[in-house]
Amino acid sequence: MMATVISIHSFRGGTGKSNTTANLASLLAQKGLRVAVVDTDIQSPGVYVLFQLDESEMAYCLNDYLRGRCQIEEAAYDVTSRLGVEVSGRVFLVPSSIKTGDIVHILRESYDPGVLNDGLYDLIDALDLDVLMIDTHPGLNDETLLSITISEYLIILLRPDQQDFQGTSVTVEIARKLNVPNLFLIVNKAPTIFDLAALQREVSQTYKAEVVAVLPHSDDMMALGSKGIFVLHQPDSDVARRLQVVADRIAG
Amino acid sequence: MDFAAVLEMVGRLDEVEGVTMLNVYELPEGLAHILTEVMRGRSLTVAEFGEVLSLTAVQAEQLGDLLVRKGFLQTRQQMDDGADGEAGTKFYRVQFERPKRRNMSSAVWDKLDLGG
Repeated sequence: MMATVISIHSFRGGTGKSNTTANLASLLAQKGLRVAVVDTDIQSPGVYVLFQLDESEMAYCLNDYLRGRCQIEEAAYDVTSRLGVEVSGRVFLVPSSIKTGDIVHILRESYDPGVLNDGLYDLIDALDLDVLMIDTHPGLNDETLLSITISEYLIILLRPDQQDFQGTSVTVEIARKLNVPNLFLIVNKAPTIFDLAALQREVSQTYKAEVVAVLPHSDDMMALGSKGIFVLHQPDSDVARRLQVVADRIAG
Repeated sequence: MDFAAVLEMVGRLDEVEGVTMLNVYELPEGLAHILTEVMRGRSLTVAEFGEVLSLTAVQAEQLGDLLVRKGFLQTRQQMDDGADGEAGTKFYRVQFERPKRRNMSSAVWDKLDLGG
C-alpha cells in the first residue's frame, strides 16, 4: 500500500503547527498506523520537544542527512514509548538539529530539494510507513512548496486573525495551482466566546475549502506547555474530540 | 493533454539548469503539471510517465527527452539490482537547480560559524 503524505503548514508562525502535527500523529498511531513526523522547519525546529526527545539522544538529524552524513532512516527515532500510553501503531520522528552551528550551516549553504524529496520516499520504504507527516517551515519557500507538491493532504492551520486570514489565502491559491488532492483547513486557538460552528462556516466560505476542525483555545493545553501529547493526556477534551475527527478523515 | 501543443510550448522555452519550486509555480500550467506529477512519483519509467500524462510510450519518451534537453528533467538508467547501467530501465526525475550559497557578507557568517 502507498503511504499517505501529509504536509502541515501555516502562513505565519505560532499557529500551533508542531503541536497539531504531534497530536495527529499520535491519534493515527492509536489506530494502528505506522507514522513518521519529519521536522522540515530547519530554521526553527520544535516538534522534538513534544515527543520529549533530548538533543543528547539525537545521534543524527535531518540536517545530517541533507549534508550526506547519514541515511535518512538513521535520523529517525522511534518515540512510541514516549507517548505515555499504549498504542498499537508506531510514531517515528526525524528531528531537525537544534545546534546553532547546524542551523547556520543550512542557512548558509542551503540544500538540494531533490535530496529531501528522495529522503522522504526512502523513509517511507525503510520504515514501512502508512503515513508520513511533514511539519513545514511557516510561510512559503522552495522546500515548503516541494512538501506541498508531493502531499496527498495539505493541512493549513490558521488562527482567527486578519493577518492569518490574508496569508492563508496565498497558500490556498498555491495549493490549488499545485493540484494538491486534499486541502483541509484547521482554525486553531479560537476564543471560546466565539460561535465555533459559525466560524467554521465563515472560514470555509471565505476560502471555498473544507474546514475540517475548529479547535478552541485551551488553557489545559497551554498549561501542558508542549511537555507531552495533549490528546493522549486529555482524550475526552473538546480539542481531542475535534482532532479525532481529523484523524478519522485521514485514516479513512 | 494536447500533445502537439505541449511539445510546441516546451520547445519554445529557454534551456535551464534545473528548476526550483518557485520556478515551477511560474511555469506554464501544462509544464508545471508535468513536473509536479514526476515529483509525486519521485522517478517515473517512460511507461509511467506516459500513464500519468495519458500519452503513448512513444509520445512520453519524445516529451521526456525534450524536457531533459531543456534542463527540466534528468534521466537515469537503472538495472534490476538498483545499480546504474546503460542497459537498465530508463527513469525520468525532476532536475532541481543546484542550491546557491546565501549571499550574505562573509564577515557575518564568520561570526556565526560555530563549527557545525
